[in-house]
Amino acid sequence: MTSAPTKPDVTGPELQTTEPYSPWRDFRKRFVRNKPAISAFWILVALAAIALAAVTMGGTGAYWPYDPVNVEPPAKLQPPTWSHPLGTDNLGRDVFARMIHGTPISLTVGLIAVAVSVTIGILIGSLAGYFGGVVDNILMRFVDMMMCFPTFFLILTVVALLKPSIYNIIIVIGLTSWTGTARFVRAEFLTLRQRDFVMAAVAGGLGNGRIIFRHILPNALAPVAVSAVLGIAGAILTEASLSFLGFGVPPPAPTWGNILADGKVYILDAWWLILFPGMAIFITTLSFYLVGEGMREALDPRLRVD
Amino acid sequence: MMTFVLRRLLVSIPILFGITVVSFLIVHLAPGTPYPGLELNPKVSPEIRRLMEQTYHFDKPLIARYGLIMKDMFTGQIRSFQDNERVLVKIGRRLPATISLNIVATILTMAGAIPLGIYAARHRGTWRDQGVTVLSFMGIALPSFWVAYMLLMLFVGKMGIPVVGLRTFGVEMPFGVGLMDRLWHLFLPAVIFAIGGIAAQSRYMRGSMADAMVQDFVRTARAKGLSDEAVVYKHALRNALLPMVTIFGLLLPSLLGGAVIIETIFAYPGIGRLGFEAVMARDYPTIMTLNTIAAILVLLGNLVADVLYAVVDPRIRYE
Repeated sequence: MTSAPTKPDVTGPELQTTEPYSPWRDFRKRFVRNKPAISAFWILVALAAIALAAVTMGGTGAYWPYDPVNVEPPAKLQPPTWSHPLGTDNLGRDVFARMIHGTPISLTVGLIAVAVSVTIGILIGSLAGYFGGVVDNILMRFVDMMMCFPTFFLILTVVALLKPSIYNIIIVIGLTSWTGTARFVRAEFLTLRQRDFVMAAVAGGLGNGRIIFRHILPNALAPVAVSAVLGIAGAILTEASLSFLGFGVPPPAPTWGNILADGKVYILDAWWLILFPGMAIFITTLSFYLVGEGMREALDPRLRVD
Repeated sequence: MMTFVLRRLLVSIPILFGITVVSFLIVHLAPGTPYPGLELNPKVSPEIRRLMEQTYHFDKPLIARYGLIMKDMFTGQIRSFQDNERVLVKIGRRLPATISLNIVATILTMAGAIPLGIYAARHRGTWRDQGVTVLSFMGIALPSFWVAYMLLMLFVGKMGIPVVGLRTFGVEMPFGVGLMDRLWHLFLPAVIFAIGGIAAQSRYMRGSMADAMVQDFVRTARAKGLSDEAVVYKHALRNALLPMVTIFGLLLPSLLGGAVIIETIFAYPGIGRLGFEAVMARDYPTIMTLNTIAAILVLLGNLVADVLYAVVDPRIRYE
């Protein structure tokens, strides 16, 4: 959206309308035409609805007879049946209920972790790109340094040394995944800094903070949004991996990674404990990736060829 | 070129310093002692505890401790908490397994990613291209630990084939069969690495190939009336492959990166599992050394990638 065309961009017959050109409508039209992306988008909407339902129903509710943390030893390790469509785990808990209640937790971890990382990335990237020189040099060497660390091992180390808690996981994932955003934002700022409207703002005597956040940043947000959506997928995968290794969200709270981790001991007896939570993680991360990629393509002016 | 390499190495020094500081602080600012339970163990007398604190410099203030530990690390004297063995010896013992795993995984990755990327680029903008895109995102989105468990269920659960560990345990085999056995044990973890690798690299390959196909020299080749095959595989592909050599530079850091989970699941005695064991045992020296070595490998890997790129592509000059 950095270079909005001056005349209506006719990219297909359905775009030839009498309405005036709007970048947002253009983006929407191009996104909707991307079939994988739009299907993935609706999957995410459905997941959000499930998460909302899980939060509103609390424990046992009107929607589903089983409680996600209710232990029922006689019913342990039952394969999928009509009353337990996804089977039960080693403590007789209903896997379907646990999966549903794990949805808001997994999504929240992804969303908040990315909010943390995007905030840090925007701050560091915009400072480096706007001020340049020594500030840029120091901040970017810091980014280089952070990029050198084996991210997952670093996260694992910190999470293992701290007390297990969902907040620690969110913060650690956020603190270790902002480098990509910082680089994008810096690159955007380096080019936008030279544009006339920024010169005008400087000449008008506006403060640095106002120029950065009100004038330049809104123009740099499109690539940030793409990397944020892709980042959510990465954060959900990381949380699941940590849970799987036993360093994730502590029990009895159900997350998809937790269910899989509890089930890994019974790998040869209870396939449903492995298959379903893994499927959920896979479909969710894939949907975020496809939506992110669809956004990137819809925003990329070079791909306006069809 | 020499000055470029030298300058890069010089810039690396402050980065390296930052890396050691961060690796040090992360483990040393964590709450709790590195040897939980030692205070309660009646067999450990106060003298022994003091001796241990001295050996690992835990009786010193933080800054002095950093200096002493760095001295130990760079002279190779740093020792593991777990068994007092030198950490570098520990790492060295695990290195062959991880390197062979990486080599096999890389071969599989390249064998899959390059044809897939070419295919997608040749059919750019069609449903075939979109199919490859969705497939590659599936590969990136697949949780590797889940694939590992599904494969374990299939091979061990259904077929009863041993796949865990470095080789089949407790069976004596002649050399040739033993080698095949080792290769087979390497194969599944390598396949799981390669799924993610193929997915990511085929995207690069597609981009690189698509860029090459619209170049002037490719249009010239077509205008000369060369066959489609010759244009794609002789003219475009050779140029599209150039950026792919940078991948060899990025191989070094992957030694530790994604290996933690897969090596742990397959009980494969490589660097990743060493890292996991160190984290479980709060083995500070090993964790720090691994973090530092991994970061150095990334620095080196990026440099190797840039140099390799300039070597294979004479259009690239670093002044």
